[in-house]
Amino acid sequence: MNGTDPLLEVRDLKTQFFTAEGTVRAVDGISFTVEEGEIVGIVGESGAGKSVAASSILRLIENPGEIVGGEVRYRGETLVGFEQRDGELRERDDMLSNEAVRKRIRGREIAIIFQDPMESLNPVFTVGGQLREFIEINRDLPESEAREEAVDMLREVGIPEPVKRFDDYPHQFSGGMRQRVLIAMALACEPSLIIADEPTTALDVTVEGQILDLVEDLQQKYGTSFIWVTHDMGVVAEICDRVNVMYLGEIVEQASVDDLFHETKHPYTAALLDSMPRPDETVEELNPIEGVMPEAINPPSGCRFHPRCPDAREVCVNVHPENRAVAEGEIHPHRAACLQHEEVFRAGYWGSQPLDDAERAQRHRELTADGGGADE
Amino acid sequence: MSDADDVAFGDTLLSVDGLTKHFTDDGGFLGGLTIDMDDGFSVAYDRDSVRAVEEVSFDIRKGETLGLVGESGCGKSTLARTILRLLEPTDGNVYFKGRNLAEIGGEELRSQRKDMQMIFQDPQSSLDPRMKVGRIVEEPMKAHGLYGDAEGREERAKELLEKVGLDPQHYNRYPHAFSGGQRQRVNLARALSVNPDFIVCDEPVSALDVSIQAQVLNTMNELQAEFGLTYLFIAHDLSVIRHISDRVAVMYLGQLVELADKEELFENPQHPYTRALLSSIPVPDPRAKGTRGVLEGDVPSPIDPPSGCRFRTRCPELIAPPEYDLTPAEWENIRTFTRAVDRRAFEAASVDAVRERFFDDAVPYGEAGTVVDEAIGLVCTDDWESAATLLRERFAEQSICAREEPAYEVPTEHGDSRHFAACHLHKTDLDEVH
Amino acid sequence: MATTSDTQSDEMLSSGREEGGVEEEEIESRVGISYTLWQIRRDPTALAGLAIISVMTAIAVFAYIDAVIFDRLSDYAFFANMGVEQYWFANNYWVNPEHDPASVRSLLPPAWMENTFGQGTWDHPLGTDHRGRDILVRLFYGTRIAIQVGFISTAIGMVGGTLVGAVSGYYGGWIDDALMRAVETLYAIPFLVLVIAFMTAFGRDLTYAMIGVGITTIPVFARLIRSRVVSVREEDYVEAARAAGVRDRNIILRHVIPNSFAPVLVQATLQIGVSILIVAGLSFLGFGVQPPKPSWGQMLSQSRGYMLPNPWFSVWPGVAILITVVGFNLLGDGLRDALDPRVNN
Repeated sequence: MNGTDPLLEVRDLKTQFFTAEGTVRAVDGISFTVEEGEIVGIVGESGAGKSVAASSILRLIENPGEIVGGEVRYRGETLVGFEQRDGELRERDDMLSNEAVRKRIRGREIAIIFQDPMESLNPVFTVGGQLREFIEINRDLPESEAREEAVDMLREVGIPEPVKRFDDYPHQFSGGMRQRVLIAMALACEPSLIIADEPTTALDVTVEGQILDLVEDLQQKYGTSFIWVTHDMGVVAEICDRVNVMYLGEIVEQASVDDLFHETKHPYTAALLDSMPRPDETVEELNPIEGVMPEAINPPSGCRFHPRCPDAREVCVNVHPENRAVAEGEIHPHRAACLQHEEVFRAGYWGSQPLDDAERAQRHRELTADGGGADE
Repeated sequence: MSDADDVAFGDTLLSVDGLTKHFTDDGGFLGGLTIDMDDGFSVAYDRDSVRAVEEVSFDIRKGETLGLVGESGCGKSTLARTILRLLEPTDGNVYFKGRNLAEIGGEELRSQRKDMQMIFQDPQSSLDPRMKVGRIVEEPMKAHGLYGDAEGREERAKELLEKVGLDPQHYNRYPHAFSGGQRQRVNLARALSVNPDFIVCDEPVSALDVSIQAQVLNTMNELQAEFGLTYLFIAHDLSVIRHISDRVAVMYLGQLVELADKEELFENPQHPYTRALLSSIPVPDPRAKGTRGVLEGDVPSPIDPPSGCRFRTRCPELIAPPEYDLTPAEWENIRTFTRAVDRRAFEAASVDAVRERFFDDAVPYGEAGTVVDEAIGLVCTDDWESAATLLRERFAEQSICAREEPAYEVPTEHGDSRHFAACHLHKTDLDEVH
Repeated sequence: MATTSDTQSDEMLSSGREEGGVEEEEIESRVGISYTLWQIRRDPTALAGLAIISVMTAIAVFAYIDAVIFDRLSDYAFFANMGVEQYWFANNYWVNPEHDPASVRSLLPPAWMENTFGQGTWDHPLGTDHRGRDILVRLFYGTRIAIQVGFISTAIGMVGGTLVGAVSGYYGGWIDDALMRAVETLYAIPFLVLVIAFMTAFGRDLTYAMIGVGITTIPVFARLIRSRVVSVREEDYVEAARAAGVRDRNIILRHVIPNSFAPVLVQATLQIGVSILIVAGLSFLGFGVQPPKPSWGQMLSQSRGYMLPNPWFSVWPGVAILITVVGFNLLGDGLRDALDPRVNN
C-alpha cells in the first residue's frame, strides 16, 4: 500500500430497501474517502440515509435492504464491488466473501459503535465478560490474558474501578458508561477505522463532552480513523476533519470542516446552519427550512432539494446536479451538488427563472402527499 | 376570557414555593419490609426514597417563557408534573393565580386544568394511536364542556389545526399519518383548545430534526404572542433554551442551582455547574474549537444525594476546608488524588511513585500532609476503601460545600432581573437569600 | 352516477395528488383491531379455526331456531318413539320416521358398523343412545348449548375482568393491591370447586353454570389486561388526557382499554374453548344442563354405563367437544399472531 491511497474509499455506493410501498433508495450513489488518522463526518437529518451508508460499508444491511451497486475498498481489499456484466449488475470476483468480512474485517479492521449502547450489549451477561469474550475471539488470546486486556481497556476509556465494575451487568452502568464500554470494545482490537453511528445522540451534553474528549484522546494515541455519523452540527464542528452532508440518499456537499461552516457551497448546508439555535449567542428569529424531507421512494426530479430550496430556479426542477468539485480545499477539493456553481455545472442557472414560493409549496405538497407524509 | 382572577402581563402567574417530590419504591404493601435473619429475627420497615425534587422555589410571570434546563435525571420533568399536580407533591405549595394547587383536589383541580396545559416530548406516544386527530384536539374541550356541541367543537378544532400550521382537512386522520413535527403541532393544538394561560412544554422539540425544530419553535413563539401564553419550557439543549426563554432556571439533582435572565445566565453564569454545562455544548463553529471544558464523573444517586451543595462531588471549584490553610495548588492536588482513589484509576506501586504522580508540584504540610500520607500508605497496602473514606471525611466533607446548603443572590450584570445562584463561592460579601 | 365516477378516475389519473380515495382509506384502515382482524385472512391456522367455529355456530343457530319454532316442550322430542311431533327437523329426517314405538332400537353403532344390538342404519348415521335417540341429532342440539355457554360465560369473564383489571392497573396503589389480592384469592380456589359451590348455592341449571364459569374466569382477564394497562398508563397520551382535565372514567374507557384490548381478545377466543370444556365437565358431573336436554357433557356422562356394548356412544360427544375447542384455539392462535406487533412488523 502506498502512502497516497486513502484508508477507505467509497465510490458510487447504492443501497436500496425493497418494501411493499416501493423501492426506497436510501443511499443513492455516494462517494467519499477516509484517510489514515482522519475523522470524517456524515451529517444529515433523519431519513437522509446516513446510518444506512455507515452500515453498508461493513455490509451490515439486512433484509429487505440490499447493496445494489458501487464499490467500497479498504486497504486494497474490496468490501463491496459490483460490475456491469452481460447487462446485469453483479458482484465482482474480488469482493470478499461474507465470511471473510465477518472474520477478517469486522471488529479487527473496522469496528462499529451504535447509537443505543443498551441494544449493543447483552443484558444477561456481565459487561466485562462480553468485552473479554470479544477480545478472546478477535485477538485469539487465552482467557486470562483477554481478561487483563479487557480490564485495561475499561480503565483506558475511563470506567471507574474497572476491576470491580468488570462483573457488573449493563443495566448497572449509566448511559455514558455503557457508551464508554462500547468504545472500549471497538478499540479492543486496535482497528484502523471505527464507524460511529450517532454514538452521543442519546447522551447528555456533559457526558457527550466527556465522550468527545475521550475519542479525541484515543484517536491521537492510536491514530485510528473515524467515520462519525451524526445529525448535530455542533459535534461535527467539534471533532470532524472533513464532512459529508447527506440529503435524501445523496452527498450534497463535501468539504473540510472549516470550509463547510465558513465557505458553505450548498444551500441545504447553509439552511441547516441557519435553522439552528446557537448556544453562544442569542438568535431572535430562526430561519427554518420549509417543509420536511420527502421520502426516498419517489425522490423529487432534478435537484432533490429544490422543493425546499430558497434559491431554486426552473433549471433545478429538471437538471440533477452531480456532486462536483467547486472550489479548492486543503487536501481534497470542496465538492457540492448545486447548479448555482455555474462555472462548473454550466446548466444556465442564472439565466433561469426563480421558482416562486407558491409554485414551490405546490411541488412540495405533491411530493409529500400531505405536506409531511408518514415517517414510520 | 373575563375571569375575575385574571392576571396582568408581567405579574406573577405561577409561584412555586419549596416544592418537594420524593418517590418511594412502590413494591406493594409489603414492599418496604425487610427481614433480617442474621441477628436473630428482626423485621424492619423502611423504604428508600428517590429525592427527585427538593425545595424548589421560583415565580413565573404572565407572558414570559421560563426555560428549565438540566441533564436527564435531574428532576426537571418531575418538577413540571408536580407543578401541574399530575404527581402529588411531597411538600411545598404551588400558587396558580393565587390559588394553591397543592391543596385542591378532585373536581376543583380538574376544572382548574383548563387554564394550564402540557406538551410532551415524544410526538409518537403523546397522541393516542387509535384516535383521529380531530377527536384528540376536541377531547379537552369536551372534558370542560367548552364550545357548545360537537359541531362547535369541530369548527374550533379545525380552526386550531390551521393555527398551528396543519391542514384542517386532516381532521379525520390518525396520528401515524403525520410526521414527527406535525404530531407536535397536533399536540400544540390540543393544548390550545381550552384557551389556557399557562403551558408546560416538556422537551417539545428534542425528538425533532434541526430544521423541523426551528419550524415548531417559531410556531410556538407566534402562538405565545397571539394568545398571550406563558410557557414553562423544559429542555436539555441550551441552544434551544437560549433561543426561546426570557429567564432560565438551571437544575441539578433535584434542586435549582441558578436562575437568572437569559442574557445574564448565558453571559455571566455564576454557578460552576452552569459554567460547566455552557462550556460542554459543542458549538457549531469549528473555529470555536478548544473552548470546551469537561465535567468529570457521573451524577450521584438521588436516593442518597450529597450533603450541602449537591454539585460538590463533581465541582471543579470545591472550596477548601478553612482549617488546613491549603494553597490552591495543594488543594487541587488533593482533589485530583481523591478522585483517582475513588475511581481506582491508577496502579499504586510505591509511596514515592504515588507521591510523585499526584503531589509533584505542591505538597500539603501540617495536618493535611499527615492525612495525605496516611491515605497514600493505605493505597499502597491496597486498602482503597479506607483511603477513599479517609480522604472524603477529612477533606471534602470538611468543606463548607458539604456542610451548608447554598442559596445566594448575586448582583446582575445584564438586565435588571434578580440573579439567584446556589454556590458558596458567593458567600463572602453577600447575604443569603433564605 | 357517470359524473361521479369520471371525477374519481380523473383524480386517480392526476398523479402526485393521489392522496384522496384509496390511499386515504388505506391509512384509516390500518389502525384498530378491525384491520388486524382482516390480517388473519392470510393465516391458514386462523382460517381453519374460523371455519370450524362458523360451522358450529351455524349449526347452533339452526338448532336454536328449530327448537324455538317447533318445540315448546323440547325434551320429549328425543323420545322419538313416543310419537310427539316436535323438532320438525329431527323428527322428519333422523328420528325413527315411522314413529313406531316398537321400532326403537337402542345403542346402535354408526351406520357402517355392526355390534351386538344389530347393524347400523343410515337412519341413525352415528348410531343411537341407550334410549334409542339419534346421537347425531343430540350432538346437533348440544352444539347450541356449547356455543351459548362458551360465548356468554366468556363475555361475563371478559367484561368483569377488563373492568377490574383496567381500574386496578390505572389507579395502582391500594386500589390495585385490594383488587388484585381479591382476584388472586379467586384464582387460588380450584375453579371447579368454586363453580360447584356457586351452583349449589344459587341453582343447578345452565344459567348459573354460565355465570359461575364467567366469574371464575375474571382473574384470567383481570390479570392479563392489568399487565397491559400498567404500561399503557405510562404512555404520554394518557398523561396528556389527565393534564387536559379529562375525567378518569373517560380516560379508562377511551384511551386505556382500547389500547390494552388486543391480548384480551386473543384470550377470550381461547377462553371460549376452555369454558365449553368446563361446562361439559360440569354437565358430566351432573351440574349444569339437566337431562333430558342434550348437552355434550351430559351425553358423555350417560354413556359411561354403555362403554362396552357401544363405545361410539362415548366417542361422538368427545369428538364434538374436541373439534370445537380446537377450532377456538386455532382462531385464538391466529389472532395472537396477527395482533402481536413483533410478528407483524
